[in-house]
Amino acid sequence: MRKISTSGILSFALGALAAGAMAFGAAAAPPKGAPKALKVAFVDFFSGGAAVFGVSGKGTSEWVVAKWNKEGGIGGVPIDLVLVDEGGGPKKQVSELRRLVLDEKVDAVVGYTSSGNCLAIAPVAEELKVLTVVHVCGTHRLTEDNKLKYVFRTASNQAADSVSLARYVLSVKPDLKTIAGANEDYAWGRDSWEAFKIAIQRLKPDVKVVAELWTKFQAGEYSAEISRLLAARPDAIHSSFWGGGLITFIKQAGPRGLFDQSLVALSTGEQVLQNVGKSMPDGVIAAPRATAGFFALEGAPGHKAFVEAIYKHNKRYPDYPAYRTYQAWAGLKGAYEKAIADAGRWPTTEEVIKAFEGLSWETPSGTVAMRSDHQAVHGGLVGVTKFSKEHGFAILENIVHHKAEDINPPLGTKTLDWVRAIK
Amino acid sequence: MDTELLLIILVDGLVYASYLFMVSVGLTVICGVQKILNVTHGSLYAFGAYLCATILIVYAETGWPGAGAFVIMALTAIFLGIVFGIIIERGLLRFLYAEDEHIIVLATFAAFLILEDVLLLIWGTNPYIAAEPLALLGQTDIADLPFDNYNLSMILLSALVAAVLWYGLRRTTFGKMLLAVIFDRELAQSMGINVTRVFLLTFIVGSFLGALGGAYQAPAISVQPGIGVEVIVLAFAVVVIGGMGSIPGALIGSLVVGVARAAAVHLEPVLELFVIYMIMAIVLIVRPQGLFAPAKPRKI
Repeated sequence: MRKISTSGILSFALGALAAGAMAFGAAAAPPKGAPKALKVAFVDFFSGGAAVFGVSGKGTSEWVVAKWNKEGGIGGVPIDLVLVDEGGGPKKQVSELRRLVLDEKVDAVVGYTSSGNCLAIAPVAEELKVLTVVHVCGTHRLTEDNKLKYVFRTASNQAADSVSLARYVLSVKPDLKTIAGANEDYAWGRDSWEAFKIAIQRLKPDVKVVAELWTKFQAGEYSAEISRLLAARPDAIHSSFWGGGLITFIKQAGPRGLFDQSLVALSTGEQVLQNVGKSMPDGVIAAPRATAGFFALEGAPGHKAFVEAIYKHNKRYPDYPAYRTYQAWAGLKGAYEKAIADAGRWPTTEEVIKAFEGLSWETPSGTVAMRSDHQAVHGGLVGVTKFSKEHGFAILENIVHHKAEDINPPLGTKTLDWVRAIK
Repeated sequence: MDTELLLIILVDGLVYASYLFMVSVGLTVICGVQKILNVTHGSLYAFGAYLCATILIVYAETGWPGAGAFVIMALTAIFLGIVFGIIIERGLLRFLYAEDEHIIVLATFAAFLILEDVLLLIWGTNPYIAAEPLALLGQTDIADLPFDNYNLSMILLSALVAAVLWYGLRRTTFGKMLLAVIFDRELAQSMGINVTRVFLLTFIVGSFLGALGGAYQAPAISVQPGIGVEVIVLAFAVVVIGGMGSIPGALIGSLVVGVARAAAVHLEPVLELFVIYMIMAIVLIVRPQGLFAPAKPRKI
């Protein structure tokens, strides 16, 4: 029988005491003035065509909040998660935000996938003085057309997607002569194509645009657009189609040979890989909107554990809405914790805002840095699709990681001015 | 403009027109007979697409002949048409026929919202993707461009549906009874026509056509939440252009919008979204009752 030494028992007991004290300290000693719970609303699409995004974000939020609450919440205060559907349009979201702040008395709001919605709620969030962390919405106008105090965006704007795609397209096809765009006719599609076109023509001035197509939001029929793209025979095609619209486009364009004829670059392509399975041809340029991918595990520390946890919880590998949702929650937590440390008590919203500005925090997809204009910047990857037998769908290969400074405008420079001057 | 481009515009236009006709014809049939703007039409389309995609995914695993997919589409639509037709007509609408038509629209809208949530409860939010029938039919080259035969087959299906409906209305006893009911509900009843039965059968046929549109489109799209809303908006536009309740109107309306949209995509893409509403606005200004609105008898 193995003999147990006294010193062994002693060190085990001390260790257990220390661990217990740490856990007790983290969970049971919230700072002075702390509320019983920090009430945070998560707003995303749980119905309609964008629900594929929202449900990924919702699952990630539920997982991360449960995990942190188990670990002691934020500064010892548990998070009370309120889930709100983003459907119904900007007007509904504005009144929903008023309800959340005035009736539900939430302390902060995380969310907003649609560019239309984030533009609509930003001035209202400022008026209501509620800390709002925008997680997915991509239009650069959010931070450039508004003077933001209470609203932060914890992810790069669409320029990062468009510029990283433009750089990648030219690296794959240095002799590029012609491009075409197929995008949805609203803020996201228009801004994405504009930035991509300017970036390509800035990097290679002799490139000509042979077709610019503007489709309905999440359309169910793309036959005519595909004919037009086939007839125009561009060297490369840019599309910011997303979710169901993108899946439908891939299903209808694939059999007609569009992906064989032209090099196609999809700014949100990574998000649908798990859905389209074998319908996604090899060799299509796809990006996870300037975040990481679950297939590129060499990312930041903790990435593998994050991928496994999200897969277990969401029954789906983390896609970019999952990464961006985590970025938002981790930013909010980091800001609160810094503010608590700075103030030595539970902070006011204004103190949290002060702590948020200039904050850098680690996420599974790398470091995210919040600037004073409330726009976060981070790097991201782009690759080309290759069917993976192991997964049963395509993942990305020939991955290029772009640094934050290569795909984001510097502080104080308007996005399109910066794109017009990129080198 | 060269003839090749004209031909491509025509084919693309016909493909889109057949899509529009298939998604709007069920709405038109019910609107014509029962004078109801049936918003649940969008739900039938969505249920047709979801159920068909689900069965097709399972069917593809069995390795049975691909042609069976088309039998599945037809059976799915028949099943849903009967089940939903009876539930919605007998369970909801029959209590409302005496009410103002605005109340009935609101009731069908409420039912539509409930059914949208039922879809979420059954199928969740992840997209369903069944691609096999699309690949099965291959491609045809027209003017040097490959077109999916599956898309082209929808033109034939639309023509078939239009022909059967025309024959059914003009050449069968039931069709004549239907026309009598359309002309004057009370007079038809006084002549011994069982209007209750006619209404139920019409609603089942309309629901079947809605579900058939969804089932046939399922292999070509991402079947996901929200597809019913997309369709109901398009279908309303086509029905307004063609004339409320007119089947030839739905056919011509679909053709006009389909070809105009294809022309916009090929010649002036920035107009693509605008073109359907532009046509609708022009029709509403010039002929507010729609291109082929059935004549209304003047009652004394």
